[in-house]
Amino acid sequence: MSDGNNITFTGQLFADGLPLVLNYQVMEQRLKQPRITTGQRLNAEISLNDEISSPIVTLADHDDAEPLLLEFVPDYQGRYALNVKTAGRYFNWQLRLDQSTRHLLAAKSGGSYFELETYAGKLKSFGDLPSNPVSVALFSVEKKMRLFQHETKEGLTYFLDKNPNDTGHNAYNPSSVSFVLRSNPSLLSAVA
Amino acid sequence: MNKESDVTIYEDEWAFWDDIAGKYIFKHAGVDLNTDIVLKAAGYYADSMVLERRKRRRVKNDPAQVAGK
Repeated sequence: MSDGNNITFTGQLFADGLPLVLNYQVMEQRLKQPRITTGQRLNAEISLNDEISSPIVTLADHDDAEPLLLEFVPDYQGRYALNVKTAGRYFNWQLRLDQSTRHLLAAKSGGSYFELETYAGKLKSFGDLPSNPVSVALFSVEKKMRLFQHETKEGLTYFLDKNPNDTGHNAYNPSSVSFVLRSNPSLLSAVA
Repeated sequence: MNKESDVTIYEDEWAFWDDIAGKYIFKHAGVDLNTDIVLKAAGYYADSMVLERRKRRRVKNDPAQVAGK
């Protein structure tokens, strides 16, 4: 903490005005809705118990959902490892890009590294953030690519560091996701 | 159509359901389409809209704001 270039901070990410959460949090919220059809309930229960789909990072159904609390741990050269700090099933798991599907998900170990890019360029340290909240792009260090957003037919939104355009037609090439990072104010004041 | 079986409609949703189904039939009923198709589609639209409506969150108005104070 003493070294100005290596400050660990916590924060939350948003995209499209919706908070980033883990899929199991979305499913838990859906099951709490009083008017849910049997089909919706079964689908949610399947996803909730599925070890593949529940740790996928996705967008919440509502903008007032509790965002996933992430810890940004700096590595050298402005790279960050992201740890899940929301209490529950995936506490202290690391965000990782799956090696085969390239989806962004929480994994017990082997987290991926990300760079945060603002309009002013790549972030070197926490103090470089021009504002709070701030627009950022997440840059995958492995693939040297900004994250894209895509959606399955069933409506599950996910993030990946691979071009999700499988049509082969360049008109369908996506643009990268613009995230909003809201860092934790208590830590900000502690630094100041 | 990709849809679950008939949705259970709550009492306070009936008026909304009827409105959607009725308007659909009013717009599409005619001599050139089979009645069954129109009826099924009206029900499908109404069911889907009820499900979609349930996803929205409703917040009670602040009484002071409504009074324009």
